[in-house]
Amino acid sequence: MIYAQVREVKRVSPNVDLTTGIPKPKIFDWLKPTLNYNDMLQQVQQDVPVDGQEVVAWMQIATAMNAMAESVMQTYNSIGSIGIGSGGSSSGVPSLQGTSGDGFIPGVYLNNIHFLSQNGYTVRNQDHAVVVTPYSNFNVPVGGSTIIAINDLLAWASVPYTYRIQFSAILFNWLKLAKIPFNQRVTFPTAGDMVGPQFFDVNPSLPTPGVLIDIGITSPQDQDIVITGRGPSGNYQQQMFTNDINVKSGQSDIILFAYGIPTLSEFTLQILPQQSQTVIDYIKTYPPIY
Amino acid sequence: MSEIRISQSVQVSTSPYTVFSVPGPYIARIERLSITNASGTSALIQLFMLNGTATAPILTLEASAGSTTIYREDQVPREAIPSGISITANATPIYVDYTVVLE
Repeated sequence: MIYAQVREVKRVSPNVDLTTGIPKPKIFDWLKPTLNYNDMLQQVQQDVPVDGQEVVAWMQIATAMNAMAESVMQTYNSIGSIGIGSGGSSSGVPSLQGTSGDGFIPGVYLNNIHFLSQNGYTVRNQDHAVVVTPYSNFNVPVGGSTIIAINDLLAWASVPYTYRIQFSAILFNWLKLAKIPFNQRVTFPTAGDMVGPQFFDVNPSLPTPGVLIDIGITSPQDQDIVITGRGPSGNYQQQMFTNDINVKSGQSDIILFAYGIPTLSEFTLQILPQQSQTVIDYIKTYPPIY
Repeated sequence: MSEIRISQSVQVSTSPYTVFSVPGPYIARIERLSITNASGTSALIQLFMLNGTATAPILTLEASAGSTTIYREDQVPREAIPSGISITANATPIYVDYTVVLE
């Protein structure tokens, strides 16, 4: 079993920097990088207006969400390529995938998980969409989201909007977790103004009873951030600790002491903010565990 | 009277379980809610509003094993809660993570 205590939440600066290190979405190089979904959607709507024939509204929404997802994937999947972290060998390269679209047609799918193809009216009436995985079906509330954490499957699914025929759906799937520590900015999966978690692998290379984890966060507003410890891959459903932490607007360091008896074994660190524009600036450990 | 915001994570191992008791003269409303089914099977989970000795269901969720359902701020139950929040589940453990505002 692994336990964790919040030792300190230290406000480093009131400054809110939401641009440095936020990459341009590579697949849509005509869009400017932003962490604000409404700004991104506005860019898409201006550049590619609805024409009533080929371009319809869900495409603009899915494009904005895909652009933001692509940015998140870039920040996460490059962990280790800048300074300390999990890079170096190809087996250590993190892999997060995300996609968005109309869950009815053409459908939203990723690897071995997909949204059940139902029309928007049905989804709205039953109050949830269904994500099909090899282990079970998962309900995703309309206007909400679901973390899917079972065995070796780690995913986040959200249904931000429903219409009569269509419903917009977004899926993220963590195939290979980034390891802490690292020293670069990482953003969170989003679906409109909803935000999903980020996951990291904590795996001390030498036996140690505990480790101090320093999570550097930039928050656009005062908010609660929920930090959860889960089992490692193969046992993601096991929840070992949860801490609600209030951070102020600006840059903060959350200092968490994680320990195990007799030693700290590998676990998954889940960080879930409330605000979609939250950024992780770095995660350090004392002692260093790589 | 000013607002008080309380955030908590609770582990539910028995059913029914009182997740939150509203203190003194306050009325509570839920601002943030996520529910995790950490049991090995799917669970039918119900959240109840307590009003003195009366109870009323405010949320029903069929949660797969290993799922965390997160409600957006405008999707959480909007009922004003006079006495408390309780939960029932036909499988445990369940984790409830929430913020309530006391007014």
